[in-house]
Amino acid sequence: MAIGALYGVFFLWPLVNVAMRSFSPTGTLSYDPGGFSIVNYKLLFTDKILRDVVVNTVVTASISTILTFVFAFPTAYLMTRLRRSVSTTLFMMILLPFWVSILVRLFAFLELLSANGPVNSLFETLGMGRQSLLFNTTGTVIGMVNYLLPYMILVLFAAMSGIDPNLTRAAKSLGCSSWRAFRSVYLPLVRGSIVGALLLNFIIATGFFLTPAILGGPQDTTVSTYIAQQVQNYKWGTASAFGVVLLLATCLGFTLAGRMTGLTSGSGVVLSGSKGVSREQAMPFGPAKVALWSVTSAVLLFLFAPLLFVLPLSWGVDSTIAWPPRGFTLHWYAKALTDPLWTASMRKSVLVGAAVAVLCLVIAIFLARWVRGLAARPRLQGFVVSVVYLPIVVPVILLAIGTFDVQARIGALDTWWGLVLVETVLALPFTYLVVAAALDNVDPSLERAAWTMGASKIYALRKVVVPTIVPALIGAALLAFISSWDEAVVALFQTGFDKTLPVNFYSSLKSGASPVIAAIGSMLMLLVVVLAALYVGIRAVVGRRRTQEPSSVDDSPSRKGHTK
Amino acid sequence: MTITQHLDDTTAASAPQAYIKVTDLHHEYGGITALDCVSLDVQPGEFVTLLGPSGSGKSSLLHILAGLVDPSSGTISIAGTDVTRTPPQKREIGLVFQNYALFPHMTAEENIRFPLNVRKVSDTEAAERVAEVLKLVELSALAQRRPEQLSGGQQQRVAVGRAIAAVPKVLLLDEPLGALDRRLRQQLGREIRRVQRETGITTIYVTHDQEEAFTMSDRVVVMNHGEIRQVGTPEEVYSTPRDAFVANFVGEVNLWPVEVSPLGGGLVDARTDGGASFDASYGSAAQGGTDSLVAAVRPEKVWAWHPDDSVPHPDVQLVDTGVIVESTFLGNSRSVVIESDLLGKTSALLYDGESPRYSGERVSVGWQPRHALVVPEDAGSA
Repeated sequence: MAIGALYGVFFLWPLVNVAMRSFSPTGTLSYDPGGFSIVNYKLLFTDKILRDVVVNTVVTASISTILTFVFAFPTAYLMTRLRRSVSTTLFMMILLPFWVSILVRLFAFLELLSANGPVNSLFETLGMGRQSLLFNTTGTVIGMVNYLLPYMILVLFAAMSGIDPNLTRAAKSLGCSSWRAFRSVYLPLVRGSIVGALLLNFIIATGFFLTPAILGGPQDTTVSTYIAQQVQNYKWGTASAFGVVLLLATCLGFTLAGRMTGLTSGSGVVLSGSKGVSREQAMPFGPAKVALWSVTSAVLLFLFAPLLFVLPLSWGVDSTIAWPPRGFTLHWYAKALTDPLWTASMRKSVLVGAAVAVLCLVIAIFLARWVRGLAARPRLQGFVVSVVYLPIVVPVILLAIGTFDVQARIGALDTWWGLVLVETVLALPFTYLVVAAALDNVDPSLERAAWTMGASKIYALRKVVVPTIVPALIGAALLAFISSWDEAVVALFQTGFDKTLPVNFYSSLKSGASPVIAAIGSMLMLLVVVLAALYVGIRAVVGRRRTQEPSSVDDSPSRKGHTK
Repeated sequence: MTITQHLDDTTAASAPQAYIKVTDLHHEYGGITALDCVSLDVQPGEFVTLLGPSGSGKSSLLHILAGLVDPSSGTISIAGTDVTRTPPQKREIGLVFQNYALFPHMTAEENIRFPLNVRKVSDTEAAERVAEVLKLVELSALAQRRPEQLSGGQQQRVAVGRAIAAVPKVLLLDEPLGALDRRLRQQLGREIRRVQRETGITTIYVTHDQEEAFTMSDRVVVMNHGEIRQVGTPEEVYSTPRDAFVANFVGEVNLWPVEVSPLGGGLVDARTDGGASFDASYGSAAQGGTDSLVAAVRPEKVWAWHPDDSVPHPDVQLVDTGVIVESTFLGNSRSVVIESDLLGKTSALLYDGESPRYSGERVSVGWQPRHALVVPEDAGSA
């Protein structure tokens, strides 16, 4: 119930709100059917400027999606063909930049691609001359691909690891060449997932706000940046009409993509592991493997270079950012940690993030158990899972303007709890994914066993179910925290005086980079590394404690009882 | 009070009334009838096995007894108290799951201690009880291991220990040996019975394996399609099955549809479709019924001898003569299939010294009238 209310107020109402406004010629909100008009929608198709915005958005998103796929497919395929330890490491490496604030990455690209930046220096030494890489479509596409790559790789990897490698082996044993086996057996099996992944990424790309806002130029406004500009000038009419169209396209695309990738079937858990695929036989060394590895290396370089690039920027002694940096100082770090502007926003971000983490965890546990109990009603189950996942794909700018309006109405604007509740809705998909996967791996008979021994339902949950999934719960809480910690768009519209850290970061980026931003960016990045290391460490400790003692030798091999 | 002292309590309490009383239990889920009119009495300290093929309702009955599933109608009482709507937490039962359901984050000792913690037993008493249980299931040396460090058999012992640690009124076991190999199954089956005897806990055991059912139980309840088909000691169920299903499910059997005419003295003259005719005993369930009847003869009761020789035992009647078409060596015996004109195929189990026994040899086949039992094809629920 409470969860329903949360989604009602902080997810559905904002969207409905935007929809209502789109039907008013003046863009004001009224529930009076008399003022109903579709003039805003007409404008979308007649006004030349608006049409350019649409074309520009679609073109940028398409190019980004296709480029992303070209790099993601070989990487994901290679990951399914490597020994498990190697592929897990790759998996972790691809996940890591995913959790580093997009603002930090955008900042890095701003510097990397700038007219005097290292990329242009390289071009010049190669004799290609300086190129204009920023504040145009090129810049936006580079930023989008960087952001989309982990998404695409994850979805493709999930689909591909569900395919039994024995199938291609069987094809080869029947006389197919490697290429032919790949084309006639493997590709048809992943085709649905590929189309789904492309669609999913295209949707996400059309909804991008921060990337075009920072890396794009004034000529190539996208739908999201246009909406933001208009709303900031209190011109809701065409902006909300745009929003509704974007939302409908998103919902439609998401449903289709979900069907094709199987993301919304069952309790929505696709990344939960191997599905019994044997991977003892790694891919043999050969030209195909070399080619795959070179693409994968390029992907890793592209994902990590901007992150690593932030570090040297933060330690130069000059008071403006310069490349290459001169000297070495930690002065900017000290300044970032003492300047009240930054410390206040950090404190606020930590508080909000912690509250979001706790709230998300509790909701995710109950939600996951409830959804699992709905197995007998697959339609309702699928619907609930879709709603939980929707915030990932609904263009964040829409939620931002919608909640901005709703919160102003219910007096939650500029309050810390208002922000916490919105961020919870945004972070829940990630938390839910992890918690549901973990709970799915807990044998339901454990709980029943506890009941028969007299344990109440709460006691059984607390003493039996939760302890067995502690590592996953910690991971889920971290994900929720980072999701809220990084979120800038909703918070941008939310906070008046005391801004959160990413909002401050965004404003500073817009007003001109300084080494303090580089220092903060480095710290944000290191925080993710520390949290990730912490998580890996805890898992390792828990794992070691479990296998401290030697395995027994007397009767039958261990774990036999669990294989049923 | 230790667990084994509990034995005296239950025997002292042994009144003529049943300890577990199941009355007219009916259960449906998703439109499928899982249990239909099931009634069963279990005496204090008794070891009763629910035996049946998968889908027969035996596991449903066990889960209803445990309180994990609510029956559509009917009542259950344990020790004179109606527990039909009592949640599992309040039933004081011990349930051993098919996959053991050991808590993976706890050691063997902590698993066994769990029910005592739930019931807030004092630390010293709990420690004593846990030590006693560990000794009873012979796991004292492995108390500090986690489930994943234990073999399948050891995990199974932890599961039994955990189920009896809080001295439940009833111990329920749901195919607890299914995941183990044959030799271990036999060994652990004997141990479960030993622990049950030493503790005296009234026990209901579910299995689809008739050998397990026979070697462990005081009484066997044969189930099929949600109905109880027969209740009796292993001997009763094996040698005087109520109908063709029970006869077939509890062991190998030759079955022939027959027409009968009475001979007196409990005997009938049975005639098969093929024209074979022999004397047979008339099972009680067959009397008065209009159902189609079958004659059941266990392979080990079938005699085979050389056609030129005389009948090997005065009571054995010659039924037909045929050829051995299959002969399989089983170690302590030999299983043969004899093809003959009147009977069709007949299975026989031949021991050392009996001959002929190899494929292609001609034999005479027969049996004693008391070993051929005429029963209904389907006697319905017991």
